[in-house]
Amino acid sequence: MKYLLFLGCVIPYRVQSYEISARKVLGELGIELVDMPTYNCCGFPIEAISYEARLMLAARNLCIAEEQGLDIITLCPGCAETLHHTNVELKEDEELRNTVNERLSEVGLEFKGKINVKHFARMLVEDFGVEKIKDRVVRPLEKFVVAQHTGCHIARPKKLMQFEDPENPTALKKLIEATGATCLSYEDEAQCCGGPVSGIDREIPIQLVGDKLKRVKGVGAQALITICPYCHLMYEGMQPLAERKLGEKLRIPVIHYPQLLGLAMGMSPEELALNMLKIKPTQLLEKI
Amino acid sequence: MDEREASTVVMAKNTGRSGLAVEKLRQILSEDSSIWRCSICFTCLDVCPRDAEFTEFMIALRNLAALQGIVPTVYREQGSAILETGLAFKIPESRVKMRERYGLPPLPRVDAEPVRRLLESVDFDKLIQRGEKK
Ligand code: SF4
Repeated sequence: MKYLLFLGCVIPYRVQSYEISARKVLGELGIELVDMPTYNCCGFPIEAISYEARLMLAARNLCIAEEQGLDIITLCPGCAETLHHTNVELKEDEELRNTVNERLSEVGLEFKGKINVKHFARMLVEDFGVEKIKDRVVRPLEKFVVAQHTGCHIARPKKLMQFEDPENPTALKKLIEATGATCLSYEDEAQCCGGPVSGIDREIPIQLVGDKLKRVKGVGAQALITICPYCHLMYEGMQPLAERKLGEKLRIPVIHYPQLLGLAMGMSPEELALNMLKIKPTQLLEKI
Repeated sequence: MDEREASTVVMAKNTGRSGLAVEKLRQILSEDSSIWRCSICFTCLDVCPRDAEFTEFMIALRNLAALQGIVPTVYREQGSAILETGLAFKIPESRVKMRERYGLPPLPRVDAEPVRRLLESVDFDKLIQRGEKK
């Protein structure tokens, strides 16, 4: 299996632990990752103010991937949703495709519609297979009791993404259980982290983060597992502010799924950059 | 009446009302409107029993506000960063250098020039500049 890795902006900017662990684990699973020869922002951050700008940014990335002849996988669900959305729009709407191609020709590119885009967690479930992941587990995390946060864009909008039921997400749960860990259910698992509006009003994610982490803690989970850099930044970075607002300690470590899987595959916490997390999962790591 | 006011009035007229409608539209397209509080999570779009695709309206209304020069700071900053560097955040040189220490391959090349040209083809640069004048 070979994919083009689309890194996006926020991961190289400030979520290195995610990239380090994802590259290690996917490599170890035998999934070859080729870096984009060149790329740009997927377009998600500015779609709110310009649909057309999003279209052009995403289209350029798709064209570059087509030239490599490889499907894209992303670590960020926002990138996956935006690139997939644009890919579908351009494949299905000939008029739009012609307009966009006219502009792309100015920079020597053409959209042909030859590749697909997926988030890596979806690729693991649909293309690699949960059973095959179980085969690679050498150190089942039987004493780990965690909860999942799937995030919005891997399955929403439902009609566009055609993946799982976004109200009742199960893919990440299956991936977590494959490591031997217990994944607890809690109320309203599908609630958004509020990340995309943090730049407009920080109180929104602070409120949402406190809300969700209280429920996560309430059922007895020792960590929250994420598959999105923004969700991770919210639940980890905003947690102290949420604690202050709630007037109580939460101290829930927020762990990237590849870090969890890597532990189960026998890798060391350092190799998986677990030491780079702000809320140290010290107690959890003692259970290995 | 400036360009922004004029287009709001035209839109209001097209809705068949004036007065209240103009005021309402002005509010909806302003910087402190609740349209900017939507996190584009698509929850409402997915649960709507009539397939009204409400999130798309939120995006369209913000696009409309931006065309009238209303661009909240966070979008202006990210928009300028993309025009300048191709990415939504300016990644400090120190971060790029740290990659080697972490055993990460170099960051793929980002060619800002073609990105900027593509964005200029849809007048995104003007959108950001107009937002700055405020
Ligand atoms: S997409 Fe809909 S449900 Fe989500 S924040 Fe925006 S308006 Fe609210």
